[in-house]
Amino acid sequence: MERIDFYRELYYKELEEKRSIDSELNLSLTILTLIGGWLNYSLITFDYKISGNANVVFLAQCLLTGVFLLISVVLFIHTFSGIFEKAGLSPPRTYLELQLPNQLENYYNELVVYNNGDKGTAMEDYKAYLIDIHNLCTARNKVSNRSRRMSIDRCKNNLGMGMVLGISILFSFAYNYTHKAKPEPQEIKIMNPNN
Amino acid sequence: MNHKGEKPKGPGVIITKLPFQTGITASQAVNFLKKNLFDKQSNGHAVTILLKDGTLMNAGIIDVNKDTVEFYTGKGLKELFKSDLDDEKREQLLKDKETLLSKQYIADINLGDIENVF
Repeated sequence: MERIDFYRELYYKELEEKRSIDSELNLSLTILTLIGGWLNYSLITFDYKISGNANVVFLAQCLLTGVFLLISVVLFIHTFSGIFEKAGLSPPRTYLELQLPNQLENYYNELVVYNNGDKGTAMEDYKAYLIDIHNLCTARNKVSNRSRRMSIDRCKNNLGMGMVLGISILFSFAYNYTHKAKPEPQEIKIMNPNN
Repeated sequence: MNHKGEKPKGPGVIITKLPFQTGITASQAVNFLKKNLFDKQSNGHAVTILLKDGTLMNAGIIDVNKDTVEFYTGKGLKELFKSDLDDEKREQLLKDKETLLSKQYIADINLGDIENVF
């Protein structure tokens, strides 16, 4: 195996990791929306008249779900954007990629001219450059991926807690349903209008 | 082998930013560069500067001024700090700033051109 192949593999591994983080962001956004929607629906439709204790439990569940949801939103924004970097709250997470193939080919041709047409030496220089540039990109992308991976994993953990609490709200609804006040039978008097 | 002129510079890299990402601020760059001033005695480590146009360069930071950064270029680091150069000769070379500039052993860039430093 040539050295360049080894470094190229590492370079693509980091780019794959970036793609994997980006796709996990989509999943997290879906779950965030679902939990947010469920919380909103619960707060609107819950019957607060039934029992004071049930209300307290329900509101505590909603509050905790909301807290986990809020933390998840912050972590999601941190993974998705560079908004916290400006305030110095996060290290710079720029991604670097290799230049376009035609630019790399132009560079090789320039090296051939520089080496007076000696293609062997030019290729050696070119390979050395490619190894350098692959390694620089890999090193930079690794730092960015590591920081983003950490925040997306924390976001997922918080979403998991939010989901569990969100599901527990169902128990409050079940209590609400079973303790619903039954309508009292009403006495209907039929009166004869002729009397 | 007689080479034709200066060795061509590589095409650099493509920078991909996250949404709302603006790169490091000038003050963040200054702090980082000041922390990593090149130490001649211990052949201190160089940093890599990424410019906004995607150019990557190795640099031994000499001084950080208000708007500019003075540094040993990659070529300068290679020539001035190679192990077979004795200390006296190195001192002499380092004193002659004009030669260093003409041979592109040292250079300076605007802080505003810097995208990132690592």
